[in-house]
Amino acid sequence: METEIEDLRLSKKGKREVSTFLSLELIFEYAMGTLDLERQQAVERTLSNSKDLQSELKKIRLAIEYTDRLSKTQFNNTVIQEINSPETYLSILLKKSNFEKWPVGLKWGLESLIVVAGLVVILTIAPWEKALRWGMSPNGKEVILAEVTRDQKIGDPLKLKEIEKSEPAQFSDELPKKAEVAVQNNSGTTGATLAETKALPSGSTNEFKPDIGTAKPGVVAKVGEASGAGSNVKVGRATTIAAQNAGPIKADQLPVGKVIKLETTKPSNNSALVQGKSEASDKAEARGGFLYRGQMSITNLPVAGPKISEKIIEIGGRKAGDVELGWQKSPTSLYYHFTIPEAKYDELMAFLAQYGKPKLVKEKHPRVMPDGIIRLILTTDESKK
Amino acid sequence: MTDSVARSIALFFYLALMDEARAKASSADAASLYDINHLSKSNCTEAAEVVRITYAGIERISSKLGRGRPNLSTHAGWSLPQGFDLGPWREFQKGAMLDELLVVIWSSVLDFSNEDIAKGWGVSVGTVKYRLALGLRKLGGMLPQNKHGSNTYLGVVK
Repeated sequence: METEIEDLRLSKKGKREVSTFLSLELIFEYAMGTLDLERQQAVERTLSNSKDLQSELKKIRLAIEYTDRLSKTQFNNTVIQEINSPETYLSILLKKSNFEKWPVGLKWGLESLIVVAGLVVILTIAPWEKALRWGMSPNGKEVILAEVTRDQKIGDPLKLKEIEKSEPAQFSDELPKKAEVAVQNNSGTTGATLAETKALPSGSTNEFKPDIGTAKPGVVAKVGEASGAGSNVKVGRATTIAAQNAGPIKADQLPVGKVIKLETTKPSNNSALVQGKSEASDKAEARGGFLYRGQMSITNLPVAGPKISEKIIEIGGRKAGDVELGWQKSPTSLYYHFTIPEAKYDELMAFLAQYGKPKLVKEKHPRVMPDGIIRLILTTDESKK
Repeated sequence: MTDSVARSIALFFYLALMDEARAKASSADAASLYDINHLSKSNCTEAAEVVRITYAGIERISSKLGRGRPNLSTHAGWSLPQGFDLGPWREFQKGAMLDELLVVIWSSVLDFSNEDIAKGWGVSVGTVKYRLALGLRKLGGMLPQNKHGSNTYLGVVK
């Protein structure tokens, strides 16, 4: 070792000198402390005379301190977990297919194809008919045409009156020939006022039975849930908007414990409705609506009249006009304008037969009733003995 | 993969790219390349393997590497030391050569040995030292210094 050092060219003072250039190359090793002692001393000697070298050394030391602090940067567990988590199938697929290297046009084409396919699926699946119906349907235009209560008992006049008071008129009463009371026009609320002024046909004494299950286009029935057994069965709300899609509902198929709602379209112009010859009514007439109209003679009318009203309520009938069921048309005549489920027609006839001989005529009428619901106008007179 | 390896990969890409979204994506990609079997086969260390996969990751995105446009926030799941100024590093990341940047991160920030870096990078140890010296000098030159010659954030050097 000593001989090797002796072989080296040394300065006049016998010391091993390194040039500034060489020191500059060694300054990093010097800063890191990896030089041997002799070279370290040589660099130090050069360093003491060179400001450039000092500056370079300072830079390196500052950088080392700076990066030492930078290395203390902390990461959240979420970041670490994200990196550690296994790849998804999509990412693997993209990686395997070298999606990034695909031509831009091909990428955009594929992406646009996916977007278009998604749009087509959405447009196909979306219930546009319902959305349109929702937008066009009137708010709160609900008309209950008939209500069947399972556990309702006959002879509950208070209940009867409550029901009658709570229910608004669904149809205008026919104006009796000698009516003393002016029936208010209720067309503004329901749009269903087509005042009839026709008299009862003189020759209409034949008894008719309703056509159960007769299809009446233009009507849609919605069935919703009701709570528990014994709940009311409401039949009402006829919607003439989406009518064509409706299928017939037989009255004897009416579900018990369900609420059936039918909606009526909101009239756009009241005056047109009052005229009774609107376009809608013309169409209805063309389709063939019916009304059961009749009369019967009863002995002891003041006693039998309320019982008839109760029976009508019991079988699910609802008053259809402005006046209450069993309205005193004259001192010897009561007037019933109501709707009932078609299936209950026979039951009603059987009940009425106890008091007399009902004579009902099935007439054509521009108003089309919902499937399973019929409208009747019955006048009862005190029998003349 | 251990958490320390994942942290090293994340820190490397955060500092090399200065872009959170790309750093996360590149870190995940690099992590997927991390192969434990390769360690035993090639008889290299964990650090060398990290160098290999991070360099491969940088190589993959080198054409799209837009340096000098940092896109970082302090709420991105990483927290710098209290009072640390990232400005000089941004300057360095923008102005330094890619090799210098990478080797400074591997050696000075991640504290990998020159031998591991050389093995993972596929160069000689001398090259690593040379690049590191150049990088550190460049970074040191970017650090703010007062008139007495000391940088402001490290305090006054007497």
